[in-house]
Amino acid sequence: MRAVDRVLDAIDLETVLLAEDERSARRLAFQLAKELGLTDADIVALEWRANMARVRVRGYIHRPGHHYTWLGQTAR
Amino acid sequence: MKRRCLGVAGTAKNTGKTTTLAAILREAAAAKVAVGVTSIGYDGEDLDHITGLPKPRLLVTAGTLVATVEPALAGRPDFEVLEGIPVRTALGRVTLARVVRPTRVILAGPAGAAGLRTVLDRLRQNGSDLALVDGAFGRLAPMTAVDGLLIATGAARRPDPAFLAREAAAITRLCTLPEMPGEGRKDLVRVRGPVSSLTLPYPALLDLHWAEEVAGRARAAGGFPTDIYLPGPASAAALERLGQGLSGIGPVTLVFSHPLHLLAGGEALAVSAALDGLESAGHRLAVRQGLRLLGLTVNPYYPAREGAVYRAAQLDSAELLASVRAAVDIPVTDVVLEGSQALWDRIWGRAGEEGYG
Amino acid sequence: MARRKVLLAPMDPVHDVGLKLVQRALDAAGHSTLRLPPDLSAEEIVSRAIEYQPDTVLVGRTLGYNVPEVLARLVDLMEAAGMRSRVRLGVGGMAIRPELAAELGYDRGFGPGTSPEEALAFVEGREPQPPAAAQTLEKPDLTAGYGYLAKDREVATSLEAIATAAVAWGKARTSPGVERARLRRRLLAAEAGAGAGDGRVPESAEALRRAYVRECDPPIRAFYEGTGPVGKTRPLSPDEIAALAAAADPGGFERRRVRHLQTRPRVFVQYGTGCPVMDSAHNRVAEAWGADGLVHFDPSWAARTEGLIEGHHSHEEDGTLLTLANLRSIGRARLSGTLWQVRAHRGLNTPEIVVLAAAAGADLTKVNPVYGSLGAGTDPERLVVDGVECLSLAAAAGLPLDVVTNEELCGVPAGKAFAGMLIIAAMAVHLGGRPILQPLFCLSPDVMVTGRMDDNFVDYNMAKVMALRQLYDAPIWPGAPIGFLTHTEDRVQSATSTALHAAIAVSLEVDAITIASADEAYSGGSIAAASRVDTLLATAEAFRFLGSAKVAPTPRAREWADELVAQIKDTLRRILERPSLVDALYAGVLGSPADGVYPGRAGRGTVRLR
Repeated sequence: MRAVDRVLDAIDLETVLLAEDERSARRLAFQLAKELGLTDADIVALEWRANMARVRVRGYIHRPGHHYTWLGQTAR
Repeated sequence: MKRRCLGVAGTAKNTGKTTTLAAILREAAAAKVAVGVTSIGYDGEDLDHITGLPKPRLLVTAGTLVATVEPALAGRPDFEVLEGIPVRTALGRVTLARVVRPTRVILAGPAGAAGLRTVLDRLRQNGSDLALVDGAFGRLAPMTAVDGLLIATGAARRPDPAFLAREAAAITRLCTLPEMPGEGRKDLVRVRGPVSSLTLPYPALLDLHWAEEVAGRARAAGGFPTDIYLPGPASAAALERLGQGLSGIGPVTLVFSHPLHLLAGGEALAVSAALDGLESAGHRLAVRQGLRLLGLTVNPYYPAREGAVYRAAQLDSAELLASVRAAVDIPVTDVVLEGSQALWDRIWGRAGEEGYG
Repeated sequence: MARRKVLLAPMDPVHDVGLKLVQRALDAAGHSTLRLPPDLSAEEIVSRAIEYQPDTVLVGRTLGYNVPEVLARLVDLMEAAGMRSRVRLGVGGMAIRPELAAELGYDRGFGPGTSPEEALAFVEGREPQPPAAAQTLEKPDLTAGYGYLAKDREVATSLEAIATAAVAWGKARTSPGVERARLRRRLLAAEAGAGAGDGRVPESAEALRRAYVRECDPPIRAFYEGTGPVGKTRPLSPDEIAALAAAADPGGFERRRVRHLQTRPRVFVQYGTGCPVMDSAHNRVAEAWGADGLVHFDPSWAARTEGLIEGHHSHEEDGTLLTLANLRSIGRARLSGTLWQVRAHRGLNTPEIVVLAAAAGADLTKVNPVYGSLGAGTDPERLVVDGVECLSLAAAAGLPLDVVTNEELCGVPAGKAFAGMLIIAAMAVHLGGRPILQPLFCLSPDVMVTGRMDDNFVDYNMAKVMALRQLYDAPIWPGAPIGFLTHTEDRVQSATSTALHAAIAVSLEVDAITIASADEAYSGGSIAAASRVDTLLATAEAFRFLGSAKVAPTPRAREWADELVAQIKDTLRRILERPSLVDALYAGVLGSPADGVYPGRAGRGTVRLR
């Protein structure tokens, strides 16, 4: 059993990225998710100021309707 | 039938208790010895719940008796539940079960010596020829209920072979104090002279105040006491104070209740040093109930703390083994390095020394 | 109960609050206690225990480096001192788990969130009483104690006239929606092997289903004829259905408390990930973190299609399909004390949804043909006919319903929207139902334009509740969700805004609120369960923060409440000038293109006289 199989739906990454503009901040945010193995990722929130971006990137492990690896183990 | 109850205690967490226990379980299975197993704490998870590092698993073969808590057996068809035992733990009631097919086990059992005696009786009544007791942390005191002990020490206690060797010597020294049978009440200090004796209420913990009190009363008794029975743990400082109080009243035999009670009183090295002081003043040392220390196991592995996380680290195995071996005159082994056969032979007494055989 | 002697030993250098609380509970229960000064060594504690001779020793200690060793050493000393078999040992602290307590040699471990009652039970050697919140499995009736009387003579007369006429108008007509609801009721009865409640013999389910399908749009017909799936849906697999069945209330489930001292408001959350299995999992998360109620969200496209499909289905996008199988499974998976609302306020299937909601065991529904026709695209005439049927069905099933005023989000001023809400509420009461008023706590377009929230979010939201209470004696359930249009994609901002709006709600002592998740403003994917926890925690914190204190508005709130009352009365007068409620809807009296709403067109021309 991998811990990731027990993720109910998604993993959020929250951090501050150093980026020269918002566009590159968004690109870096997606890249970060990919580097950490989150292939189905989206930016939930991103606020860029000066050369920093406060970001929340979401990597979906289980989208609704997919086959959940935790099926049968919830709600106990 | 002879009771064979073997405890596996550790000087600290992660010193290799579980690995030692697993090795004995393997050998017992190969030798077809009917084994029962329990714990004075909790063991059996994949990851240590303090360090988060992987832990060795405890595997048991069919026919093994286990005394563990009800939740560890719930929903596990690998076990046939035999009976409940009237001993409660923080995880529920202790239950006796027989292993139906090879499986891993989560052990949790009685926290104290009294509960452990009850559980060991039940294991024996249900046919175990060898009962094994898994220790927990550095807790040793409940092991007064066993009749043979292996102590695991290693780098997790302190990653310093020289220290571990010195401490192993101190522990061995305390555990091999001569036995002086006799009466002994848990709550009374008994000061015995050549013609009379007196008793003092004992606080069950010899602290500085009571060390002075005991020495003072011994003096006031006016004679030359031959022996003093101390029924509980004593700190190193209290032992030193007692030594000072007894100075000039001749050699006395100090009888302690149990080696493990002495070890519970403080760091083995400090207690041993305090006993050295008493001995060099001419006093003799003994224990009311002796302990069969069958050997030591050493483990070079330790969890190294780096900030908030731990990582697995290791001392040089051969060096550690050699240092500890040189410091004591009882068998020492590293079961990972040397295998478990020698350890088993030692337990079963086939190596010509005192064992269970 | 024998009097016990308990020694309390705080081994922590600073914190002994937990042990002080436990001591208070033990003293109150008549036990004798001795609390040692903090930071004594294991030896000192054992010495004091030897003097005091307690039955129980409770040790408090926050875990840190080397702390487990110190705690284990205390146990070893107690054993060596011969006290272990006489004294029960408990240890409490932030990181104490039962497994750790067992490993350290304690008889019990008390982790974070332990109540003094649990420690008391341990001392007394019994099982702890469940906390009061867990004991009350009775579902609250949000409408209890309300008389539904208009408190203003003019409003009373206007509502009576408009509601009576609208109900009579609706009852004289029917629609495909009304017919399908009736067929569905008969179909359910037939499948259950019963008559339709009128003593007749069971009908043929097959024939009823054929009649039902004739009243459906082509995509739904294709589903029943087996020639095509509907939209982005797929049937659930057997293991998914089994997982849903296994998700039933496990019993003894402990919820976090969301309210502090307050008994109101009940806190509802919305769900509708598209997948009933995920919904059930999300709902259990929400329940665990204190949600009192769940609101089902269905896909918006389903509202524009005549007819509903059957069976367990998953939907690829937001909104979970309204089928009896889906609803039953989701409903059964909720905890026994959880309120559950299935909405029937918009679209072409509203009466049938009330039938399904009642059949699935829902506790509440949602009806508002005024909003549904002005803000959600359904033809006013059609939705008023269907709405009257919904209100009748809800009354017959004993389902209270809220009347939501979401048209405010499209630009309709609150006064107009409230007039519509009061009319629907009056119609519900006329038909024997129990309505709940649902004003929005929101930063609406009208408020933005008029600048009523330029200074604060308190005054106007409070004014809405004050105005409604001035006119009508009914339960109030601000929604939906509270703080609508104030949330951003930032989770802290979003949760804080929800909590602050909850602070207004609790100050007003309203009956319920619906809260968003912290993902409210995120539209790129489905809501994550963790974001549901965020706002429940934030709301609980607001309730804890306020206790019996209240948020106070400025005097502007009173002025705006009076202004709202005047707008409501004015709107009611203008409706009375029209031939009917439906005519007033088309004419824009309850919201016009100038406000930003248009009468919907879905289902136009489908109403016929009975």
